[in-house]
Amino acid sequence: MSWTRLPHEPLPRDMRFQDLLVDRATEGLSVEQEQELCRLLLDNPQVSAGMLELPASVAQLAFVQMQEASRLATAPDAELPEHVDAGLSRAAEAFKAQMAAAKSASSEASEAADGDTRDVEVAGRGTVLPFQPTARAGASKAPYASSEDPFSHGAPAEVAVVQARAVSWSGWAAAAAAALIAAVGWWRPLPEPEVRTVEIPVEVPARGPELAEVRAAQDLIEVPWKVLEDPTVEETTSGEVLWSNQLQAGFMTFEGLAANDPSEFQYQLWIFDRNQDEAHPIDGGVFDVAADGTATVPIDAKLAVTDPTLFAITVEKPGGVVVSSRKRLALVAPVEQS
Amino acid sequence: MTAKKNSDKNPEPLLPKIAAGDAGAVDECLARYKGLVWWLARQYAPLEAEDAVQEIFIELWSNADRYKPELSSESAFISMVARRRLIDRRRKAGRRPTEESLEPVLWDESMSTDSHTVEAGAEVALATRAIRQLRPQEQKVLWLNLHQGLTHTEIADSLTMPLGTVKTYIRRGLIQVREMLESGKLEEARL
Repeated sequence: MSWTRLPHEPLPRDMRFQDLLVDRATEGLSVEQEQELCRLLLDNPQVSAGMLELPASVAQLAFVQMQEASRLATAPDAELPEHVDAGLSRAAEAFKAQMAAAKSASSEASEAADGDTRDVEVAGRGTVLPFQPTARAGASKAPYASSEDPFSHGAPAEVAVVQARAVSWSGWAAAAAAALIAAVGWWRPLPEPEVRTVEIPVEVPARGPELAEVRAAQDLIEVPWKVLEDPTVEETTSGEVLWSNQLQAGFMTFEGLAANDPSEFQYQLWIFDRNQDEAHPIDGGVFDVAADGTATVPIDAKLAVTDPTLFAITVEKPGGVVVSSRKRLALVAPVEQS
Repeated sequence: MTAKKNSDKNPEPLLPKIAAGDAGAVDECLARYKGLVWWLARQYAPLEAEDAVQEIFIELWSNADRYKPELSSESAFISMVARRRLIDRRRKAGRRPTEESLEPVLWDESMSTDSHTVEAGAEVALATRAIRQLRPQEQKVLWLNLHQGLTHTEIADSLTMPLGTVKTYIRRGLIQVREMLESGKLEEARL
């Protein structure tokens, strides 16, 4: 499919809101501005954080195109230096090696499957991609890479305060604020995704560490839930996330979360990771809450979690989804960066 | 920027191929867009351009499945990802370390619109039309920001213009471009 036109998205009337969107698209935001934008986005879910990013990029291309001829005549050094070109070629070769390794691993996993499959709904994707380097390619530092993680956030690690609804969100790290903006932007309701049925192998879950083991982990991450706007939560709803990168295991606790009928809806956890594409958070599994409103739920991360920045709970249809409809966000737990 | 004369104004996108595991498309992607990304990196992070271009390409290849052809051309998507990464870098660095000439190359109707760099897609034609509808001073401000990589404050200083006016001009320009992209009236936008 080729581009025809950009889908219409209403521009917020609030001039301050517009200014923040412009600043984000043209020169980035400070920690305080990110938090301010975050609050506005939470109140205006129809607006996406990046709605002016594409116009800025296309306008930039228009300028480039218009002035390229004259610029080339006056700036011959704009050509890539040889060593830069060589570095890019090495990066491409290394990336292709990763692709080959991923393909090989995928092929082996496919052969190892015992053929026991079941039908599941996969929303939005339609098919399982034969190669998805997203999860790992940015996680480890390749020898050709620069000194920074290409998936790191730009905001400095400063503590700040965010308020959403009547809840005071104190102790946020800046990176968590950035992650929340990503989450809110990601959360903007999308058109109903196409739903197809595909077959995937049934995996027998391995038994993970117990709660006490996670609590005793040296790298334990312990973050309380923050309440957002959803009928399933009250201001008194509480609980926390416990996670260990070393153990690749964790638990969630809840008190005062609405009980659910699994035939009507279920809760689903999403994990935002610094080393993971922020548009595609890691699926942390679906779960239910008993009538008393309490639950202790093991986290079932579908990919490796190496540097989590935000845990988020959505309300989804029974069985959960691969791509969220992004309509109901109940709880978040931003991880304060050390 | 690499002068890659591209007679095909709508070349086949490469990112979907990369997402599907086509290793050859990685090299094609590099050949097609390295000039654009290198130019952007020099504009936004001249002292870190080398690291930045590698970082950007790795991010693009690793997230190739995020590109949606129905939402933008591939070059616009790549430009957007690169800009985001470079703006992050510039903020981390605190400031742009070197100053380019603040003397803008003013918008010139006679300038060639034939593409020497990236495909002259429909959206670029629409953006060009939107920009041309702006007043000359608005065009200049937008040009300084998007093409020269100057911050709002730098533009205000260089043009002796209130910062609020600079922001207003940039906002007006981006909104006009967005509205034009939403209208999709390509025929009217053809130059």
